[in-house]
Amino acid sequence: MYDEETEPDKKALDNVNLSVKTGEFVGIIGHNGSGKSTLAKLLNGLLLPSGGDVLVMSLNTRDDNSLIEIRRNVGMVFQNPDNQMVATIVEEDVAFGAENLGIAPDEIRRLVDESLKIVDMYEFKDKKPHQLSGGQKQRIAIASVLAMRPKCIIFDESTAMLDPQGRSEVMQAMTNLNKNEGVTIILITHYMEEIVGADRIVIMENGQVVMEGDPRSIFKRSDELKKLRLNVPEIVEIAEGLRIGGLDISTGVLTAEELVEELCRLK
Amino acid sequence: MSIEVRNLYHTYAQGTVFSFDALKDVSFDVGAHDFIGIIGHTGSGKSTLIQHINRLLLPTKGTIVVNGKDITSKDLPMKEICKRVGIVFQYPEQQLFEETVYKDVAFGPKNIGFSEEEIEKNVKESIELVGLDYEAVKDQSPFDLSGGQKRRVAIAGVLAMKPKILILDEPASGLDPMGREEILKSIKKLNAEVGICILLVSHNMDDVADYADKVMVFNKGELVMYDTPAKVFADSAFLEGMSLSVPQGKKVLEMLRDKGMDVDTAPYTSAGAIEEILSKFKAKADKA
Repeated sequence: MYDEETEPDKKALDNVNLSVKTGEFVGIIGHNGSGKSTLAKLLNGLLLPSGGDVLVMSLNTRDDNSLIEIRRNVGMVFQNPDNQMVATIVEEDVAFGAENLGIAPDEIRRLVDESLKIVDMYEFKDKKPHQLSGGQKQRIAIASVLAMRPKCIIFDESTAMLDPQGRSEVMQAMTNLNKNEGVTIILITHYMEEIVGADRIVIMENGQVVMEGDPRSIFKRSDELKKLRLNVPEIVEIAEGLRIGGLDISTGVLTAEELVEELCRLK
Repeated sequence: MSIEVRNLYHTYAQGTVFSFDALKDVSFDVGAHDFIGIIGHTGSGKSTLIQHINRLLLPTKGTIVVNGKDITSKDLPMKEICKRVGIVFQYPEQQLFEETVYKDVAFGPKNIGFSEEEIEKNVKESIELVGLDYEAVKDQSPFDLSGGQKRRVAIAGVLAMKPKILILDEPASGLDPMGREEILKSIKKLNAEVGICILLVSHNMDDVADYADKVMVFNKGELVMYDTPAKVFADSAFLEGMSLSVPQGKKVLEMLRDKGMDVDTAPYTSAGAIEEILSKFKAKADKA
C-alpha cells in the first residue's frame, strides 16, 4: 500500500494496493508516465512512499535496519546493460553484489558459477563485458543479481534495447528462473508479447492500478487497452482480424502456436 | 541518386591490438525519396554506418556521395552536410536542453546559419510535422512534456534544419504501444508527403515490415542483403541465423505450412497474413 508524491500537486502513485505472491510471475504495463517505474523503485526501497507502506517478506522499506535484507531479496535489472556493469571481467562483475554482502570467498565462487550456469553464460566467465552482445550483457546483469540469491527480481524494460535474439535470450532466462528456480518475477514492459506467459497482468494508469487479471482475460479487452495507449500482442491482433473475417477463432488465443492449432482445428 | 556508398570500410582502433572491423566492403545506393529499414544484430555495424552518412565518422576506406557531393571531402563544410542529412539518435530526448520547446527546436537551424524568419518558419513547420500543436507547446519547457512528446520535440529539432535525408536509430524504443505507432506514422508521413528520404534502424521486424519499402540486413559488419521486405523476410532460417526474426504474421503462415496447410507464405505483414488465411478458408467453403 503506497502513495508517492514527487511534486506537491502531482502524485506519481495514488493509493495503490497490490500484493505479489512468492513464485508468481507478474507483468506490469501502462503508458509512459503511468507510474510503473516509480512502483518498481518503491518495491526495494530505492524510493520510499510518501504515504502508505511497502512490505517485503513482512519487512517494511521504511525501516532502515531492514533495507539491506530487502534489497538482497529484491533485485533489479534495468534497461541499459552498459549502465549495470561495474567490473572488467564477467565473473568479477557477477561477484560484485555477493562480495558486498560479506559472503565467504569459497561460497562466492560457488554462487557465481551457479548463477552464470542458470543464465547459460558460464563459458563467458573470463570475457570482458564489451566483448558481449546486448542480450549476453543483460544475462550477466541477471547473474549478478542472482548471485545474491534474491527471492524476487524486477525487470524494468530490460529487453527494450536488445535485438530479437537478445530479447528471446533474456525472456528465456526469466522464464527459467521463475519455473525452475522459483524466483518471483515482476516484469515491466511495453512489449505485450513478453507477458502472455505471466500468471497475472497489472495495468497502471495515472498512478493507479486500473486493470488486473490473467493474460487471457486481459487481452480479450483490446478496446479498453487501446484507450489506455496500450495494445494486444500481434498474434491476438491477427486472431481478431480472422474473427472479423468470419473465422470461428476462440478469443483466448495468445500465441502463434495456439493460433495455428485453432486454424488446424477449423480446417 | 541521393546516397551512394562504395566499398566502405571502417576499422576502430586501427593498428592496435583492439583493432576491430566494424564495416567491411559496404556498397549501396539509396534513392532520394526511399524509406529504408536497417536491421541487424547488436554490434552488426548499423550505428557505425549511419554515422558515416553525415560525417560523424570518416571511412577507413571507401567513398560516400550524398546528393552528388563527396561528403568525405574536407572541402565540404560540416554545415552543408547538416543541411542534407539529419540523424536522430536513440533516446534523443536526453539531448533536450533549452528552456522552451521553441528554443530547443531552433538550436540546430540557428547554428547552421538560417535567418530569423527562416528559423521561425522551420520551427513551426517541424513541430507541426511531428504531430504537436505549435501554439500549445512552443513556450513550454520540454522537460514538462510526456516521454512521447519529448521524443517528437527532439525529432523536430533535427527536421528544422530541413534535411533531405533523415536517419533514425530506434525512434520508437521505450515508448508505449500507442506512442510507438504515432511516431512511426509521423515518420511515414514525412516520407510520403514531404518526400524526405528515411533510413530507419530498428530491432522490431513488424515495424520494418509495416513501414519500409526496402530493407538492409547487416551481419558482422557486412551488408548481406538489400531488398524489398517481401524478399528479405522470405527466408526465416537465414534471418534467425543472424540473431534476427521474421514478423509475426509471416511466422504464423510458415507454421501453418509446416502443419501441412496449403498457404502462400509470401505475405509478411499481419494484414497480409490475415488476408491469405481468410482467402484459403473462403476457397474451401466455396468448394464445399
